[in-house]
Amino acid sequence: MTACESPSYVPALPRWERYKLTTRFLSRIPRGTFVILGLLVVTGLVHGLHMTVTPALVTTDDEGTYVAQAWAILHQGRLAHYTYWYDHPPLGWIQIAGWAWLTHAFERYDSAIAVGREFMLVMKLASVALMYVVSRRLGMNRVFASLAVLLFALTPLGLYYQRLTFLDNIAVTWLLAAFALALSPRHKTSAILASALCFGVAVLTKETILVIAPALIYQLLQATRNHTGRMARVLWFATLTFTGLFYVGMALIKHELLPGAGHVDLLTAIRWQLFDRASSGSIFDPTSAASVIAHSWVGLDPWVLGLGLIAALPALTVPRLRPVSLVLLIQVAFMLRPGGYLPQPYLIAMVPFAALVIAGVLHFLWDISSGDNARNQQRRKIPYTRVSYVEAAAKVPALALVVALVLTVAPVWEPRLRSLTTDDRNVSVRQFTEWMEHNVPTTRPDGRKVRIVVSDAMWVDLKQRGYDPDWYFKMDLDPEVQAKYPRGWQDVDYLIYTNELNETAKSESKQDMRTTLEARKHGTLVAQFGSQSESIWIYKVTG
Amino acid sequence: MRIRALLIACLVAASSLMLAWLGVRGAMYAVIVGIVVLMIFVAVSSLWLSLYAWHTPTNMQQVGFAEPLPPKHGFSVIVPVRGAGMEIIGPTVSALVAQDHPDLEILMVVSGDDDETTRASAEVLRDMHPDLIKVINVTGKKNKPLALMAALPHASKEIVGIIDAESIAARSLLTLVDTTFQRSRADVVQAGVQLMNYRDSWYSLINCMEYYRWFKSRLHWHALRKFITLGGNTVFFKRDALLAVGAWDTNNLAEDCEIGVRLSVAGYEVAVAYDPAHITMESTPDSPRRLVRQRIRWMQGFLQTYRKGVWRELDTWPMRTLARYTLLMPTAQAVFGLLLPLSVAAAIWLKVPTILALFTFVPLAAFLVTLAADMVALREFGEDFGLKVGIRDQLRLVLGTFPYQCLLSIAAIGAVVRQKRGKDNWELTVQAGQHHKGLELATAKGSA
Repeated sequence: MTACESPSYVPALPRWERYKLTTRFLSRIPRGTFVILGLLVVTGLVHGLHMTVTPALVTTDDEGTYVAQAWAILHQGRLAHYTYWYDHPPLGWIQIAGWAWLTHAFERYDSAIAVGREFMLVMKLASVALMYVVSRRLGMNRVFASLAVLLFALTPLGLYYQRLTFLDNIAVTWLLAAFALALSPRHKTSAILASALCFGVAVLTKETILVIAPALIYQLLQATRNHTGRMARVLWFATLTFTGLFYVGMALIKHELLPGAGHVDLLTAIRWQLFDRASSGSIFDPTSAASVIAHSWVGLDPWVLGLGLIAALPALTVPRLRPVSLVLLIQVAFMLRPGGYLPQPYLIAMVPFAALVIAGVLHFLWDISSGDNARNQQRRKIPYTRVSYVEAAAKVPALALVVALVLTVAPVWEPRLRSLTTDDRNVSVRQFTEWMEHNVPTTRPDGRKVRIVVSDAMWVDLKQRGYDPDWYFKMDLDPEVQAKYPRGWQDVDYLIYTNELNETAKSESKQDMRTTLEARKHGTLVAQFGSQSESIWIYKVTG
Repeated sequence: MRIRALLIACLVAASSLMLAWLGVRGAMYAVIVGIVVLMIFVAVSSLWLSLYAWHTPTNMQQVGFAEPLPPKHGFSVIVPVRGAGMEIIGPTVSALVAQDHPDLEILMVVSGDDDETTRASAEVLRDMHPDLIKVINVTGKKNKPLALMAALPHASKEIVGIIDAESIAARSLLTLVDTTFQRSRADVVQAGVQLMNYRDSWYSLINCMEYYRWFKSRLHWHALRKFITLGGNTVFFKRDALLAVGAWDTNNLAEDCEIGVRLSVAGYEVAVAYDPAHITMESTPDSPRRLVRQRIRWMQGFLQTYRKGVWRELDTWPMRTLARYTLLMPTAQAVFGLLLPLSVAAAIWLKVPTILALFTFVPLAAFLVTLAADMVALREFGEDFGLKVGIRDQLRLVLGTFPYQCLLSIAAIGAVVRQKRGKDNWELTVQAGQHHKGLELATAKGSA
């Protein structure tokens, strides 16, 4: 007997009654939830399609490095696959390792970088939801909040970099969380405290996020003008400080805080990050590295960053938009500082705030055109019955701007989004691993494992297949690796040469790359895959 | 006893399993992790509850009294006095006589057989206001709950309140308490008590801050959660509620805590109000030794209340957990205070994995965040009462917090030992009435 036939069961409701019940249930869920779900589906699809094969896995070494470091945490119980030397705080790849551990991600993909790419999707989805929350808490209505989200998530410039396993992507999610929490509508002290924790995690994920601190502090000051504000502010600072101090504490416990013989140390690493990195030159000097990077950004999408920068100054006049436009302006100022180092992923933290500023300014234009009457009605949820034609007409400029934005951006984005969601730029890597599996045994006849000098992009893949790979970058820099190769290049069995390695060899000193370059000079090219930036050359080195 | 044996057997089994699984080193790490987790829980939860008033701006606006309504209830105010001369009870009583509430009687409880000066002073005061004041003599065994019980039959009004002998009540306190009874569904109103002599000694500042956090913030949380340990001063009961639960437990060292628990269990509601303009001022014990003795008494009172087990009658397990937490935490917190330097030392000297060493720093971080919160609270304390709080005071707070924590730890150990040995006699704190210094003139006037 089913529940329906049981005598105690209330007779089935007529269809319309059931329909009413359903709608009542649905109406209990905040409407924003549906908007967020819709946005998550759209942005998740665009981000996820072909994300593990485009952009190419071998274009940068950083992705492979972070993934390898995450792999080292899980499989070697240490913070990096080489001596960890405080180049970045480790929290970023600890999170990747956490995701990989939870989902057995390293066993699911042929190419380890895909694990990092997958985690980027997770963080992207979180960022999408957080962008919506931040926009709403900055006073935007659902339409403009969605606009902000779409600008952030779908710009080809953003999408390209958001897919890459960069620490900045992880840090941005935490940064957005810090902003969302600082904007707590009920001014909860717990939210402010959590905001400090999130910002701390962001900074321990990617230290450069610290330059944004003044803007977040400004947001905090705006949000804590109330009876509990002082307590909230002090707790914010205290929590952030102590979160940050855990990094210092780690160095202290490992006796690696101060410089000394025979070990790495935090102080030297910070000094290197701040002062000793080679300058990328001025962005306005067409021959500089910075200019090349900036051009590559503009080539992907000039609109979101461009319009964001244009809108940032007028946004400063709107109090509630001031902190987010400050985030953007601080980063621009930091980028333009003379003699600074401009890394490729630098723009990752700019895109979401450019999107917020654009949508925020458009919403401001929309909002000022509605008179007090209309705004009051909106607040009381009374339908627009008495909105005058004047008020409706005043919305035309804002609407026209939104339409113009969409019409300008769509034709620029469409081909790039199409190629990002349909290209496969990973062919060479697959061919390479396949070739290795078929043609190179994991051990030499003398029983020693085959030693391969390789870019980090393929390090985990080779390691997991039983070879003994070493990252070319460490060959002459890490004493631990040097000890393995007493005869230098003559102890190398294979060298995997990529376009990225070629570029690095140009910029780094010859001394620091000597083993790799020697190995290539004495090696014989046995296979080659792909073309241009995806090229992979395999050299057999016989010493 | 059988349950305890079973528990011990389980513990032994669990630890031997742990040893077998993790090895000696692993088991040691597991123990460290366990202790640190407990320390974090103690530190974070007590920080968070003591910050209740600061959770949201709305909370902060609601800690005070509401706008006064015309008086409706009558008040019987019990003033237990012992070992206090006119210079102490004079101002107390004149502050009560000066109340703007029209319907009031004062019941002074004195020890008739061994405290002649107090009795004489009380009678002088009574003769000045024979219509307002009654003097009740108790003989034989004496303690505060016995004094209260002796006065209760003489209380003829609807509300029974307690004002300690050395407390100066604000002029409109009773009217505001009356209002709170009218505006809320409360059966009990706990008004704020505040230690004021923050510059008298190294520990008095921190003692003042304890009261500030407790009455301004933490008690409100307990009232909201409907499980509260009351204070012994400026607390007002509906007489019916008091009689219904059998009034005070004369064997408990912290009868105020205990009656709060019984009222909570019986479902009576408590309202708490902390308003700097209408605060009842007290002063700290006048030596660290006295402070420790006072704390031994309180903590042991909490332990007695726990042992008595009335809280077990609470309906739901979250409520029972809250009861356990509330009654055991003062002692636990004090003991864990001692573990803090130990955990840091362990992190530095013991060869443990980095991640574990870092983890042992978390309680220290929580302690320092608490200290930061205390510094803010100290500043707001100064603002609330128009007192000067400068760098020196902040410095004293920072430097004094840990030594103060050590005093509490000593008291906690004392309380546990005494409880185990079954000693439950008074460790009476003698109040010096230091906040009266500025009020001597008023005393002279009041008693003239």
